Amino acid sequence: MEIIIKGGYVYDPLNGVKGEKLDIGIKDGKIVDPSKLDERSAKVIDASGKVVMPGGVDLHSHIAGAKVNVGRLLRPEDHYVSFIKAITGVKRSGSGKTTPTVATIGYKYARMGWTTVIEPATPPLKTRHTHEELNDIPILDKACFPLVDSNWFVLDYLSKGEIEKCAAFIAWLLNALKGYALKLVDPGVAELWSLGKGYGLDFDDEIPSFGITPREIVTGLCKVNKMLKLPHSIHLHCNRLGIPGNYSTTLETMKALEGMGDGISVHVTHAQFNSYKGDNWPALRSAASEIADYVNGHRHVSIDIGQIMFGGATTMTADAPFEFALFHMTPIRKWAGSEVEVESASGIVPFKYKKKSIVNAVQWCIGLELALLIKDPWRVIPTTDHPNGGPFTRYPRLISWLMSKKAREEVLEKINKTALRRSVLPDIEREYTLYEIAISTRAAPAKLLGLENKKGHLGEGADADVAIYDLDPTKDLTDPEKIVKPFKYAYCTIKDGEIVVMNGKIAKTRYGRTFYVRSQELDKDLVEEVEKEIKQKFKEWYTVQFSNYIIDESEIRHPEPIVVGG
Amino acid sequence: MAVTLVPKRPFEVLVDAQCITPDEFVGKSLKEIGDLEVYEGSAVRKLSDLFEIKGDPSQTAEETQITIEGDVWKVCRIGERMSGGSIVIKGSAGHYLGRWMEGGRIEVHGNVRSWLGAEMQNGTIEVFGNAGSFVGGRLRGKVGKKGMKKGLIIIHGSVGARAGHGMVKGSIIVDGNSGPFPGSEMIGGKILIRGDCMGKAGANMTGGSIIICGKLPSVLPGFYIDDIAQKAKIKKEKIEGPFYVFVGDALASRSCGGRLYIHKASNPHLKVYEELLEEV
Repeated sequence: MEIIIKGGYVYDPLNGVKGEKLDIGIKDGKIVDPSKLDERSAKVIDASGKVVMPGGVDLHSHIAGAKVNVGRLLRPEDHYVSFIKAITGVKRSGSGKTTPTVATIGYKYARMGWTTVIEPATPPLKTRHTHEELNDIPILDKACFPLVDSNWFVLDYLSKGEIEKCAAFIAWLLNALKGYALKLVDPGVAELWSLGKGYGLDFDDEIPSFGITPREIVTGLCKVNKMLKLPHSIHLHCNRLGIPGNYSTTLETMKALEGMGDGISVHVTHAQFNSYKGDNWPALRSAASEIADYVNGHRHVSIDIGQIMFGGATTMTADAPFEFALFHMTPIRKWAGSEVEVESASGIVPFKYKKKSIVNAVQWCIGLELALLIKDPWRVIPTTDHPNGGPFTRYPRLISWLMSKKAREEVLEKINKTALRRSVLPDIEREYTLYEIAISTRAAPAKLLGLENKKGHLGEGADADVAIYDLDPTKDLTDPEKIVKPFKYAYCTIKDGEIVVMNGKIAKTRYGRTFYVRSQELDKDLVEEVEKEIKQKFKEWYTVQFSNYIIDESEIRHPEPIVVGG
Repeated sequence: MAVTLVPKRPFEVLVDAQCITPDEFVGKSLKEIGDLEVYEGSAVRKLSDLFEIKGDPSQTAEETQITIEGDVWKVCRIGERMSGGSIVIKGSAGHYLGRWMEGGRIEVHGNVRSWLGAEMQNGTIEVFGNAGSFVGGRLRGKVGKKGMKKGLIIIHGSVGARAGHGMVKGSIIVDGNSGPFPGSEMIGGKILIRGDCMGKAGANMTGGSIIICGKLPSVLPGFYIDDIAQKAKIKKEKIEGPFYVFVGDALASRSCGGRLYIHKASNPHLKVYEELLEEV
């Protein structure tokens, strides 16, 4: 199918296009030179007076896996009032707001113009479940990050100082699980949680069973990441998340990776939850300027903000001790938690962020401060850490807050007044331009993921993922509602050269690809030796058979390996 | 001012008919009412495919009276969120009858399935047959003050399990017997059961009162005897006792805000509690 998008204001940061009127040509699922297409046979979309951007890329959104599913089971009340109807041949039905059902996720993302979404935390043993769900998410391209921070193999190799062997294990693991990058959640905490401990584990506290500290885990896995030449840096959820005063730990973590040479980088995820000052909850203050200052001065760090949105949320993380502590703080008396043998843990607590709560108001300010104080939009990604900070469906609102000071002031008037004195947000004048929004929601995440040749741009040869918004950049954009509505319902979304959304409605259901990494960097003898060791230990440590652990390529609907090294 | 619906054929699968409410019918012609969407199983149908529609609709919800002539045992969600007017069903009705209802009146001359008047905000429901479980109950997964808020549910037959689950205020009157767990997790309001109860009355209740005139096999261990009352009161009606009065559930809250009124004459096996009362 050939498509020509005519006369739109194109925002394509990776190719340096800043809102110029250009035509975009699409043929066989790729972007091509529009002058080579025949206008008579191709479908022409008139985009005059509209904004054309690459399809959105979300690098941190919990959309699939065992804990997401438990979240759905835990929250039937989330599904009573929010649902979509089936249209035969076009879309399936679904329900849920903060824990949407599988098909709904795809439709709601596509409706906003997002086309690539990453599930950022999957315990290795439960990754088969994750892939089953990813397979059934329509429209989107996706990938998943396995959790490696509390894996016994990793801890064992790192505590012995065998970095090469650890790298060989990680390479084997990513290939066996069809994973994309390394996710660290509160490094080492799941190992302690299996003993019923772990709340507030700091960066230099020792994990007794392996005699190793989170510092060694993070630096070790950073080296492994570099050794394997993985496309994404390590995806790090720092220690002491959600504990007042944790910003020092976050700074410590980032500093630990400072002098490790070229190629060492770290993505600190949902940094808002890690930028708290103060000794206890009532005294919570924003430490966003300290974090932002550090990120501004050091190029090895990128962050996503993990903005909270006032309203309902379902917190779910592999940081089980924190969730257990949160459960005792919330009035909603239910939670779920689990421990995954040898590897990981998780916890789920339903939560509601309130405007009048001083803590929640400070949290809200911190997220936006981070996004606005960090000068380089290539290294700060607006996310809500769906569904921890709020559902992804509220990205348009988040974009309006970034783009308009007036929109922020509307909320600032309603929130807790004491919180305002503890943050610098009311004094920040900066407003994102549409170009910066295109960077931080499209080009930058694609670049951080190492997918910049396929995703996040509209140059020739890129995947034909395009979003068109009914938004005129030449007109005045100070009214927040004028920003929210076009982003909420994209005029048109094109995925792999097919129109999937038209006029804000799903037009077609198709299934995207799943990216995974196949590393060929390492010496073959070493890999064989390590595999032998893995098989041996497997019998001792696991309740499952080695052969049942490995996920075959045939289990994935549209696998797309990304070969690195070799 | 009245609209009459007559089922064209017996229903074989569950029908989702949340559009059958006075609020939806307001200001519509009979044809427009017939075009409203309902789901029969997974198939989308028009209301006129399933029902013959007669009468003349009115301009306000209060004036609208909907009569269903026949059995709608498989039709669910009738009267959802209705704010006024009335619905009379001359037959049996399905699940979620009058869920989230905000006013008006529903009358059923037959039996009703589960979740009758679930989380209702106000209004009156009268059932001349029996009702299923979770009458006036709080929906699954919700916690806290989300149950029935106000209003009155009268059931002339018997009810299933967990009548008034999590209710906050309002009254439920049952002329027949009750299944297990009436008033579970109750926060306020009153329940009267004129017949027998299968047991476990008031499990986890933190407020409100339950009056049981018939037999109760045993009182849960979270309850303490407090008094013997000569009368109990619900909706200005005085019920002659004497009643054993229990407070609880101590497992749910230490303040023991809930009250159980158990009829003394029907429950001779509870006489042992009188000794405890004398000690105090």
